[in-house]
Amino acid sequence: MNFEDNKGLFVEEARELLESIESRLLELEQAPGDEAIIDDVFRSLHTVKGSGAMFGFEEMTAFAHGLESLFDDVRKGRLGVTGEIVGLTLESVDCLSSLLEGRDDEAARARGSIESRLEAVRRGAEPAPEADAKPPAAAGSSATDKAGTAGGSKGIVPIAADDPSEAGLTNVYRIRFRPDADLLGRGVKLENLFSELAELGAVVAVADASRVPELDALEPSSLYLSWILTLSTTASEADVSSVFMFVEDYAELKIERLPVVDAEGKPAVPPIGELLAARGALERDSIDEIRGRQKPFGELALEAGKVSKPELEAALAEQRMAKAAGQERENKKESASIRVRKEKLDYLVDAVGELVILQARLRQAATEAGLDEFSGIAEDLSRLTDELRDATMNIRMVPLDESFSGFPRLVHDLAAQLGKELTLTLRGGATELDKNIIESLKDPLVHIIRNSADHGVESPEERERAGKPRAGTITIEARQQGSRVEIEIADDGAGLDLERVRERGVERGLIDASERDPERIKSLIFEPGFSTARQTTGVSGRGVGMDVVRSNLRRLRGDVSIATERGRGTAITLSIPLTLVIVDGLLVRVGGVHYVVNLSQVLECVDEPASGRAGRGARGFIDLRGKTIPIVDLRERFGLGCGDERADRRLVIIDDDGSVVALWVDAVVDKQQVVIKPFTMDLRQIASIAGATVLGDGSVALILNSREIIKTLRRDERAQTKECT
Amino acid sequence: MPVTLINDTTIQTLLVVGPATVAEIDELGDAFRSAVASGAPTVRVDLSGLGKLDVTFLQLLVSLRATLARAGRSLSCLGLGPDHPARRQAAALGLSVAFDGCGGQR
Repeated sequence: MNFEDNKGLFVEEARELLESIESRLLELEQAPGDEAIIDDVFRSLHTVKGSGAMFGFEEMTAFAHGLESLFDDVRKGRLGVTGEIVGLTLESVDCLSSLLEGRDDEAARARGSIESRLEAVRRGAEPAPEADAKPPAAAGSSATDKAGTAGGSKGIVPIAADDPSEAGLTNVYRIRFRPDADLLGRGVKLENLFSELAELGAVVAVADASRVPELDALEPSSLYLSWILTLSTTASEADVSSVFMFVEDYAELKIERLPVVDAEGKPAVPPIGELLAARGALERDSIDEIRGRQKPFGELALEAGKVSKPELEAALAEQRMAKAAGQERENKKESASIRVRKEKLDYLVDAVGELVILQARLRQAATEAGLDEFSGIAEDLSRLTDELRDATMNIRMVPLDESFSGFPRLVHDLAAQLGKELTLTLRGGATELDKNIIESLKDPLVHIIRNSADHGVESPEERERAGKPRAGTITIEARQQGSRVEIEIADDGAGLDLERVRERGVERGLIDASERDPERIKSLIFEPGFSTARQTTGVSGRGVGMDVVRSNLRRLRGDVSIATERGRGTAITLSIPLTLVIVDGLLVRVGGVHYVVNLSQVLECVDEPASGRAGRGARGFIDLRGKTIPIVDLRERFGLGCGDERADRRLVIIDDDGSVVALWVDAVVDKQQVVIKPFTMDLRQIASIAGATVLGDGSVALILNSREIIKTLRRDERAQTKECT
Repeated sequence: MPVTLINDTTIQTLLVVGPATVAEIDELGDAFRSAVASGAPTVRVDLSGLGKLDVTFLQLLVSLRATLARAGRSLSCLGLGPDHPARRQAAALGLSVAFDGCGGQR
């Protein structure tokens, strides 16, 4: 992997880190005293700074350094978490994002103001306690700086770049620390340094007192001690190193990461003799001398006076830590992940799609040839293709959390902008969807949330007058429903004023003045440019948004619906297919054209009963085992005329999220996997068609949008009812 | 005064009271040296009044023990119960050895 690839990975990781900082900051606003969150933010900033320097993001590094210092003050209790600090840090995160994405002008505009405010906030910090007094020469240094200047300093080993794949895994570090004799005279408190290290994980320290002189020669305020510290931590090497950043110029320091797994990834438990020798507590020659007796090595070494008890205990602790870390890695090996560029994944999906088409052709050819062996091979290939298809589709499935992660910030900013109190509740973030769909959903979701915050949730005063809590709630909930995912965005605000919507609809000539159907009235909000807002705000009200939501959803073969109650709130539900690419379909023929029905919605296929249809108009109903099911005649729906095949027609019973209808088709052809291909703008206008696919013989079939067909049926029914009454 | 030296012909007792940090360490060092110089076979350090400590005090105790041991004399230490915060601090600094043999009783 070359530098540019690595840089790309850094950018990707930094984006995730900045997103994580953002969400942690919003949590911190709710729990200002939560030290774990403060530590997380500090470490993430530290990583952004350190990694940024490695990849030449100098401005970003310098800017992150100021922010890191601010959070260092916070975590050391010199500054309390305030709304100002959270807000300023959020602005800073935006600025870091701009620097990361190369929007330098944008960053430059924000940076000056942010930095001066950061300085002002830091000036308000309580003076550092004596314990934290830092030698001036070391100020501003960092783990990364150290890597760059290792050659010139005293015995400091360069610190290796943090490996992103190591994130979250426990490492064991052996730290040799020998401070200069006059270190304490510089105001450094070793106790604080050791406790800072202990904040990163489990530490076992053993001091070497062999250089401490007798009283006559002892200068009591000088240090004669050195240490071996073993640290077991999930923190990065840079984090470990940064603990020593202010003493590294006045000490010999060596940080080694101990191997905890062998070449095969199995836990590597170093023998105690080897560990003692590596730590310098035992001569290597003594290992063979002691080995071979029946007692544990450590016990024998102790009995032989070769090692002291503290040295042995420290080495045993180090051994335990290495074993635990190795075991953890082995356990996690199964769930280890790698990053793959999206383009590569898209290529894989395309290739699998082509394979599916090829497999369908082969299957058809085998059937036509009537050769058993050929058919057997085609069946085997079909099974394998199914597995490959499912595995490939699964790779693209990602949790909705990814899409949800930016919403707390959005709601936070909207609340500030609109002077409202808003609480956001997220549920079902683990629900998975195709990554491409998730990306396309982001804009529609943002539009809906902005509308809910601006028009849905009332001002705190209005809410109080209405007997509601001052803070309004926006809830986003995702759930899987069969082959679809539903995302509901609900608020507990004022609800839609349907009368006002109706009036606007009549004014704009979208509906007749006599229109009273609430479904029809609600659907007006998805018309381009439709708004009931009396004035526009910076947030919404220009009538741009909900039509975009509907058109984006349609592109995804999805749907949007709305439920509202005056005074109680509004819920907008997006329904999206799990995947855009390959579905199991039932191939049917209507008027000489092939159509595909999503197999997951098909309940059964039945012959048209002799007693046939009852009810009104061309559609009618079928009585299926006592249940009356409306019939949709697809010939009629698509204007395909009567034809000669009507006598043998069949009914395909489908269930779309509880709505059961019978599709009247000329013939049921076969079950088949179909690869959904993008279609032209012309076809996109036909709402009942969700896409197109290429069949085994090279012909094209159209994929039915069952939901839209059912919606049209319901609309027609309402219209008929209206006519009758 | 962080330390008081109680003279006895056989046992010299050093009573440490209050903080024992780098700020007091020179004075403590002088008192420890006086106790050693007295030639008493045993030097006893009473830590029951010990306050805040730092690494310099632990280092001083290590030095005192080594000095006495080399002269064939012994150090006894008391007033430090098993749960005393000073023990935890010594352990965190990898210097539990400084309190070896220290009992809780006066």
